[in-house]
Amino acid sequence: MISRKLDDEEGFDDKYALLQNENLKLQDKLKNYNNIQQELISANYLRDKQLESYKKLNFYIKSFIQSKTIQNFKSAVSEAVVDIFSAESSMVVFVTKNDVTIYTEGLEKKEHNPDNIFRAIENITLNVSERAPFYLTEKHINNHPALEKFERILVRKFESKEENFQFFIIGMVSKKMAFSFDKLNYEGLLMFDNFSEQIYSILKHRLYKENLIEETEKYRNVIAKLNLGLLELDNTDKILYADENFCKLLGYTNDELKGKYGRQTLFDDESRQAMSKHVEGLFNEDISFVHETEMLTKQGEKRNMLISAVPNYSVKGEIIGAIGVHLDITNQKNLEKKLFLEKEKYRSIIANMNLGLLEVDNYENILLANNSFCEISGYTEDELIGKNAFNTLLNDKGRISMKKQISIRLKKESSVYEAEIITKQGEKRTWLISGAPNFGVKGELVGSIGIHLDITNQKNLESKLLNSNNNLKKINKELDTFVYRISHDLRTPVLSIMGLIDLIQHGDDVDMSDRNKEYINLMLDSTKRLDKTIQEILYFSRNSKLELQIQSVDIQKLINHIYDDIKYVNKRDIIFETNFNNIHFIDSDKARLEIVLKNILSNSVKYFNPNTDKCFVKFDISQEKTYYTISITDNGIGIEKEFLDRIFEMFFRATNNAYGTGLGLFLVKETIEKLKGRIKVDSQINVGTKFIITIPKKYN
Amino acid sequence: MKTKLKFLLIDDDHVFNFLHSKHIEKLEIDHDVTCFESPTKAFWYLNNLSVDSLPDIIFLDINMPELNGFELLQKVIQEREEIMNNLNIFIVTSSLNPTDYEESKKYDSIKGYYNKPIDSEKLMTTVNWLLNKDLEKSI
Repeated sequence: MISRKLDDEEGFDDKYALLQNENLKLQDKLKNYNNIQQELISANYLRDKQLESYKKLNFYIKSFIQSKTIQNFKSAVSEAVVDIFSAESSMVVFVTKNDVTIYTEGLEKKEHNPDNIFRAIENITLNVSERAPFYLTEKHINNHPALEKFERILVRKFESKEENFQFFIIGMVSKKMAFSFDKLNYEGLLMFDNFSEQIYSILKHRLYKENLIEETEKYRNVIAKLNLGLLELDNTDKILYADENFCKLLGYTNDELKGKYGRQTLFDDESRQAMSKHVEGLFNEDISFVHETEMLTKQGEKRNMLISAVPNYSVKGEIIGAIGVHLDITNQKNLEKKLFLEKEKYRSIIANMNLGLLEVDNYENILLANNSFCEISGYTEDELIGKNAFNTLLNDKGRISMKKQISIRLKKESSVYEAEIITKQGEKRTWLISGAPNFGVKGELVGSIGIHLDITNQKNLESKLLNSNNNLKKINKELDTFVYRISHDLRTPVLSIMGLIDLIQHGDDVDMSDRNKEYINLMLDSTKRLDKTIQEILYFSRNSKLELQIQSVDIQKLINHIYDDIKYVNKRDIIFETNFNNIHFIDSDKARLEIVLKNILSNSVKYFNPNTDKCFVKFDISQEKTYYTISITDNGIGIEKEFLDRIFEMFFRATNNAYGTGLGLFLVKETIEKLKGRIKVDSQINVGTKFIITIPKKYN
Repeated sequence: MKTKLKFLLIDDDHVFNFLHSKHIEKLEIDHDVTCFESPTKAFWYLNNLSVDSLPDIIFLDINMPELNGFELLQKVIQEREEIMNNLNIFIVTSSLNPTDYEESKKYDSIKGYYNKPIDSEKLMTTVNWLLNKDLEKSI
């Protein structure tokens, strides 16, 4: 995943795949090309040897022919046998009307009795190797089906008119050969068996010209098929032949090139210099070469070429020219250059990003690890490459969870996960890993690439934080319970006092004095205030600790409910006006909103102005883009200007009213702050008070 | 309809048991009140009652020593689950903890949740609810 994001070089993967593909093609071509070169070289080598053999044989054959007598001929043959044939485990049979001489393995055997001749030959040939006999007639010599088994057949007839003798030299090239005679029509028969190169050479020599043409055609075809450009030069660097491919590569026609000087025409000064060294080495010292260079097209454009050249020999073995095979590698070169630049860019990004990068194959074998990866794993690059990441960097526990990730990768999906890694030093570290599948040229999965970040320190901090957070939560909860317990235990006796007072007030005992009744009333007021204080302290403790619980609040219902609760606080009739401006539901913390509104509204009711005819309390809510504005206005007794700043202080009381705890408005302010709102108050003695609250419309 | 209403008051604070009894007295109906300050004793009492003689209304405090109100109910469920359906329990507590209120909602037998103290008005409502319920049953 990250690998994909990382290359701002767009389509990097595609290009990379393309290049890989091109490279494969190029490698294929090169392979063929090398094969051809190899073939050419070995053909040349063969030609060399043939030449040598030919010279020797030529010498002997000349001496055979020049033999005036049969005696001379025989001795020439036996000399030849000793010189060239015996060493090759070949066999020479020399047949006259009177006897047969068999030369084999350097030994000479004579048989004078014709009856024994065949047997002798048979025995010998059978002994030499597994040979099936066949019969040879004059006709057969040139055209015998059995002879088709042989790669090359050479027949030469020697005639000596003076002594009236005839010889046929039959050379056969094969591993298997046997012969016999049904008729001796000839004065003599000289046969060579399994002579391999020597005989082959004779043959080659005879066939040399047609053979060479054939061979030349053959390699030209092969080269043409491979899209390789072929150029043949003479030893003065003049172009003899340029095949179609070669012409296409550089934009010439064959005619345009023929007769031109190769180096002069096809290279610029710089490339020519290097080229000349190679070409001269080839012409003068017989050194084949492979060389990468730039060549010029007809239009003067530069192309990158891979050239493989071998010398071309004459029949006599002299270097008469050169054959060069040309492969256009311009595209690959350009692509390579581009890729190199992009790879450099990519690499420098990877190296500088302080994130460990690891590339593995499908078997988790490491193909690439960047510096950062080495740093965080503790290994050097050499120690990592080729190792199995799964076995090297994980413990048993890590392997189990990594298997899951590997299976995700096999589905060709990316994932981000945390893993426990064992460094070279055996230290356990926590890494954040982003793994992505890696695709090959054909879109097949070839492995995966992971970006690794060591988050051990963060992890430790996190877990410390988590611990202390959990601790805090626990303490908070304990505190919460504690506060409830305390408030409960404090309230219980208060409530029982209130219950008892209620019993006294509503009891059957009517004989109580008015003064006692008054005392009882005061007692009830104080007790109620005590209970209220306890409740408010409890609320305060909870408000500061509990998170906001935002829900949809029916503000109209809430206001009416609050007013129902508080309207009996005193006996005076108070006009309650509401203006909701069509606002019905607001998103807020219901419990907290209720505390705020109840406190302010009950203050407005409590502190009515006894000197006013029509006491009123007005509730108004309106909305702006991001907040609600709530105002609560009364025409009550008002607040002294000097106290206005202090009414939100804890335990501050402007009047010594029996109901006041000094906590109400303090809690209002605290709660408003928790609600991320604001509160403002405006008041005038004997005119009234106005509270303005703003609260946000939305909580995130 | 029953002629005599049986109340069972369970509160470790005897003042509340006293106050609630007084309010019940003032109802001027035929009644029978049993009070326990020890939740354990209250449990044994309930455990030994036959189904016919179960109380009609139980006022149950939450915060008590030995067993709190819910623990007492758990014990009853453990020992005598069959009587749970026949119990009309009203939590009467001075706790302001909302979790107590939430907890009490989990029990079908808990029919109401009151903050202390119960006054005559609340008591009347409770008794009327019970009488109506019995009336519906008899129809």
